[in-house]
Amino acid sequence: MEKPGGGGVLSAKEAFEKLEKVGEGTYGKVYRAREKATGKIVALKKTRLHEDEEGVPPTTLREVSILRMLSRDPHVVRLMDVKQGQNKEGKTVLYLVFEYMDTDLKKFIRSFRQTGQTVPPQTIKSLMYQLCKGVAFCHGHGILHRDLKPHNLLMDPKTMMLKIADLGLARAFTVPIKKYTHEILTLWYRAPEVLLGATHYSMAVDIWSVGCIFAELVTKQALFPGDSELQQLLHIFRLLGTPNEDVWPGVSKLMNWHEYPQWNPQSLSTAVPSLDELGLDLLSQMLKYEPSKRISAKKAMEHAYFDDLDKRHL
Amino acid sequence: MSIAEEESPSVMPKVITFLCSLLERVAESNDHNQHLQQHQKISVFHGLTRPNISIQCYLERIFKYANCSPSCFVVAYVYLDRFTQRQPSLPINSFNVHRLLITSVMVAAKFMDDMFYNNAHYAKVGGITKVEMNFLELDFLFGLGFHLNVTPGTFQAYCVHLQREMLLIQPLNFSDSTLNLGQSLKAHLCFNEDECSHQKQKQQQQLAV
Repeated sequence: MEKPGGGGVLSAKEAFEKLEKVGEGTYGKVYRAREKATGKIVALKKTRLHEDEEGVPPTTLREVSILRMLSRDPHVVRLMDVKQGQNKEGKTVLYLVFEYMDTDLKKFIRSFRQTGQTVPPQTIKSLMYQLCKGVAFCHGHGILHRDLKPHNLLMDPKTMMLKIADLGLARAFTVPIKKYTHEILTLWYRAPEVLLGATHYSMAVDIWSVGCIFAELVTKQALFPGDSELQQLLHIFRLLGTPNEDVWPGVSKLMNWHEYPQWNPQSLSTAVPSLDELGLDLLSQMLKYEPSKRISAKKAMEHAYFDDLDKRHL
Repeated sequence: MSIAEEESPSVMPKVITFLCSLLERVAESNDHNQHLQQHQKISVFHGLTRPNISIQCYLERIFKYANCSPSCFVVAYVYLDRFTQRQPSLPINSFNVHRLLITSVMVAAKFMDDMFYNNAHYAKVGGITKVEMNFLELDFLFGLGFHLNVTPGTFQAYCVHLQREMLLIQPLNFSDSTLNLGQSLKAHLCFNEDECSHQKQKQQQQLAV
């Protein structure tokens, strides 16, 4: 970590050569860049500091802090350095230096959709195992990701290595705090307890997202593609049935609970027809309504679905 | 009680008192020892003069207007300890304690809470400019090496340390359950039992030294 005014240390401008812009987020741009000293290709995440009001964005603060702790896991993207610099207007900017990954799961799925091919079942199994392993590592360190989606899962298409990225919405859940916000997570991967306004939630929100990603890998389509919070809930209810106090004790006490249309649960195989029996069993455990009944990431890794997977290099 | 639940309001203002007492003693001690420490640096946290407002009043002001989780004050205390361990040439004294306090609470709130006030608000609360608040924040973060996460074990250990401070202030009321900070927060802090006991042991060894 380069300290402000750290004498003799190269600035980001001097240390890296920007090659191309590869993305843009709320707080700045992401570049593919070359480290001049080593020739190593990295991802540079440039963060503008809104100097007058906000200071360091909380997403940056959390991402750097959490990645300092989690970056040693092979399934979490590696944060190599943080540098401070100035832009053309003389405003302070932070550069987060990450290992560079060629693609992400969203692009990977899209490439199969465009060619009309299905993702090979063993590839799905390997990617899902790596995802569960990465999530288990985060949860084991008291971190909720809260924004798991294909776009935030980086990949090396040559080695099929998957890494969790973009921990800007992540947070520690181990110390007593004020209520959590329920305005987290991209709608399609958002757990029903969050949609229904729960202000205290757990690791189970990430597992729901993992389940949605699992189904999407198989079908190449989002499982619940809602375009509003209400539509999102209705998508879920149509497939899994409208929840009630029997299947989910306490659901009717949640802040956003209303009288919803009544649907009976469908078999998951109607939504994910090409998934085998063991896969459907794992998926059903990831998509349980009651958060405390949802399978943990650690338990998911031990599920029989993964029994025939060679885990030595994962 | 779930790990995310808030502590009872009757407990937390006591934390302010204990933290204040502890910081007053540390600052006073370092003020006295200043002439013995040749390697002290002047940092962005140093004021040219001692602020008129007492640490007690300043902390109460932050508590009143920051509206952050009460836990943030324990976490801020953890950050201050980490900062001084990583920056041994910047001991807490009466010239820098106020700026270190407002910065540590603000960073704790940003890291811990989903809803918090921005730097401009904290600058107002702390009686400094927005520009200075932003400088302090960056310096504090890099000074900490962005080491912001606090495990339940660490949180508990620092609560225990604050509890000892309480013994110094109110030795007769120790059995009063509303004051028993470690006990009242214990329910929250059982995420990882192994880590808790290991951290606690390690922390107590450090504190004993």
